[in-house]
Amino acid sequence: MARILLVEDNEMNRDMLSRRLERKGFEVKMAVDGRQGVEMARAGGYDLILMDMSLPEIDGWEATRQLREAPETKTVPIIALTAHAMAGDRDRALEVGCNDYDTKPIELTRLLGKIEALLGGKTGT
Amino acid sequence: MLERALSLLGVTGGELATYDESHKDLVIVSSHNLETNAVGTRMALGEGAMGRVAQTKQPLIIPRYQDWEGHSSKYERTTIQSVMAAPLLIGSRLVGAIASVHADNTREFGPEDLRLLQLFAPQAAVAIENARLYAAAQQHFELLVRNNPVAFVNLDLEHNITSCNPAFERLYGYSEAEVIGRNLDELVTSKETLADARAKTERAEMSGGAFSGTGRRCRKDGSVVDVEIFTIPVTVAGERVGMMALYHDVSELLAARREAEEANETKSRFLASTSHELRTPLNAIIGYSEMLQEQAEEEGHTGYLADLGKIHSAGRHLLSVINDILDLSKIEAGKMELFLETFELRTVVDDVATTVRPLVAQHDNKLEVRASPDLGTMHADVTRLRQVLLNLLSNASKFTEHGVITLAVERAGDEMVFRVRDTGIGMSQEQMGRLFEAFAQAEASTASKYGGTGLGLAISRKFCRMMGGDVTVDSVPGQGSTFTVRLPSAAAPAAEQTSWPAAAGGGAHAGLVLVVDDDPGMRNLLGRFLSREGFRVETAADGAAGLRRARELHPDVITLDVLMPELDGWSVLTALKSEPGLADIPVVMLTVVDDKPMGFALGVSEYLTKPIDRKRLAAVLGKFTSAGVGAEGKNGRSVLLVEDDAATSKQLQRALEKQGWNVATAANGRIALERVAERLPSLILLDLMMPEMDGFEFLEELRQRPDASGIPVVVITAKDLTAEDRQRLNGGVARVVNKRGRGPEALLADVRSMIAGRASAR
Repeated sequence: MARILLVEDNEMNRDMLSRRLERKGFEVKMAVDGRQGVEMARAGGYDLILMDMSLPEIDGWEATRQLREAPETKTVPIIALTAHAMAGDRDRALEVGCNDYDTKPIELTRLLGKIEALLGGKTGT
Repeated sequence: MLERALSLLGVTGGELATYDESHKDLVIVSSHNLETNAVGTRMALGEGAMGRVAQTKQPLIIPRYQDWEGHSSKYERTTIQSVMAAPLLIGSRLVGAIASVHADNTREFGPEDLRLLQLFAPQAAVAIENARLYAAAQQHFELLVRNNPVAFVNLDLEHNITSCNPAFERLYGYSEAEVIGRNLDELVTSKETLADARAKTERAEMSGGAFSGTGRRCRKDGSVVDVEIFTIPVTVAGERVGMMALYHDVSELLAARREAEEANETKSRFLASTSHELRTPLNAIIGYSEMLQEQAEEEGHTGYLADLGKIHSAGRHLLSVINDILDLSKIEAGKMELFLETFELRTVVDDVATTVRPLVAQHDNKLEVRASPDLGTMHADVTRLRQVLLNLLSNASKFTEHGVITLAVERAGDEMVFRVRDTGIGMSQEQMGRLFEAFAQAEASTASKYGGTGLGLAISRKFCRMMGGDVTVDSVPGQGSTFTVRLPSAAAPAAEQTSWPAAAGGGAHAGLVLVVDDDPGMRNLLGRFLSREGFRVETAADGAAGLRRARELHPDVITLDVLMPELDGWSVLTALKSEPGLADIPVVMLTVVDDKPMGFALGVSEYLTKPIDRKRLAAVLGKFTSAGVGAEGKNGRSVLLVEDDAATSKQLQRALEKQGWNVATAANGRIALERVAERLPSLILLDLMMPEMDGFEFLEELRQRPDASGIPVVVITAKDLTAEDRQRLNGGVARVVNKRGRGPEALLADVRSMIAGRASAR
């Protein structure tokens, strides 16, 4: 069972996405800001990180950069989530070290496709 | 005038009257040698001798006035014996009448007198008319100045005020009496702005033409006002008599602009924050309803599915409306930016088809994609392209039932053509006409039946146009519609055409013109026009880009807009002229501000004012591209500039150097002689008034040198030459150029003709 770290400050978004992912069979842990996200990720044990980009404390861009610098999280797949499809966000996300990118509101099937592609067959169920 | 006529006729006396158009009567304006002076008396048409001729428009001789039946009772003039009167006409229009009188009963008027009077009458008529027109013009001008909301002030040669209008009094808070005789620059400036004011006046003075600019000036009470300033040197019959300055209060205008900019900023912030505030709860609505649907399905609560579906789709719809409004407001505020990238087109087409397939299937429609597998790559904003295609496909599925929707993609030359065809309800001509307008669906009822904001197509069209293409529609009611999107396979970053090839069949100039203008309309206009005229055209949207493009392209000619934000035309020009590789490119300034001398001083080859006269533009550019620039050799053209004023010297030196001259300078006559000894120039420009050794002494010394006596000397002078001066200069000087009121332009023309004349004389 794949373990996902969801870094998201909005409570409703966190609740929804985590429950939906859990129903698809993933184990989901949550962080409410960038700092907590980095701490939890570096503590280890996650197969994939879903990172909201606009976060308090340290934002998703910076958090991702830090995770890519730390040896223990260098290779963990990260999917960036941004609120609106700003031109350039995708490239910027890939540049700071994200493996993929998706926009909110989340379209679950699309996101699941991306998660599965990154986990390489290691799916929730 | 009357006297002249009377002496011509050799008569005792007479009267002249002018015709008053508004009262339809005559007014006596001049009276000579009559016993009563009737100036000011009004006479009706037909009354008295003048009244009679005015009415009949025929001259009249009355041998015995006292016995005449038309004898006017207005004045008893017992001495009048005989009278001769004639109307004053311009064509057939009456302007007055003239009468001459014999008091001597031995003399009578005869045909010869009448001939003389008739010879004189037309001249008198014209004179009266001119006087009337002059008075009218004078009054008109006076009214214009007195009532003008623009502040006028007249200055003498020392810039002291000679008169001002009420608007000037209102603007600055001084009465006319207070300002007369005061120096304008000192009056309306503070310590901070005095230098600016002096510089502007100086510039107008130097250029000899009107000069405009903006600045801050000081009122009597010390408050500051933003003004637009025009300074106009006044020349009467070739002689400078003073200057006129106009001030237009622009503080309100500036304040309004600041406010509008702030309001716009506020609007943008409001939209951004509102959209964020709306999206957050919407995300919850969409997300939770979707989640509940999944859950209800899994747990077998199928009864809830339909209602949850409605909540979910209503939420999605609301989100799309918000996104559309945001897109449109961004586009309209000019804040929408394209993100251009190169992508595999086939992937995007397949992706769009996958996304839209469920929607197409809703009304039992079939989706057909016709695109070759090797469409290749395209350079555009992929997000916007996807948005356009999804919009067209979702429209097609909305308005089609049990039909076929086709997406066909093909490459056609430099373009990619996308066609979205449906077999739906179609549209009438009238409906198609309004289709791409924002908030205008084909019919008002459409929205309620089919949903949608009516913004999608407006946005799609704008995106297509930003990428340099367009979307069009073709439809038959009842049979379906076809929307065609054409996009350049490589969209230009500025989303506008930036280069034009030379049109075949245009003039045979074939030169490359670089158009630098911040106004896209102007760039487009010039681009299209010049390419038709046979030029290749490249454009740049600002000064910095202009310089960059000039370095890349080395165009044959550059057209440069004067008023541009950031780096204005003058700065670009200065930069161009200071770069060795670019300095030789002829520059044509395009401007609404007439500031020719400034341009030539900085090295402009030609100068055109907006609105542009196209023929002239083409002619000017043609001159540079076909004849070859500076074909006449520039080598060996050396000039010695003798001028003590450093600023003038610098300016002239620059102007001359830009014209390809080698310039040596000297600040007085003694230094000038040293320079001549070092190297003989082909021409000397000489100021007369200098310290140490003035121009006259210099000339005398110069002419002592046999090798230097043949050098043409052009005198530049601010003083008016006396007869004695002329005498002293005679023979030694080729031409005298007055500095005052003449710009470097005139000087350069003199210099050019001088050299040409000298060359041909050899």
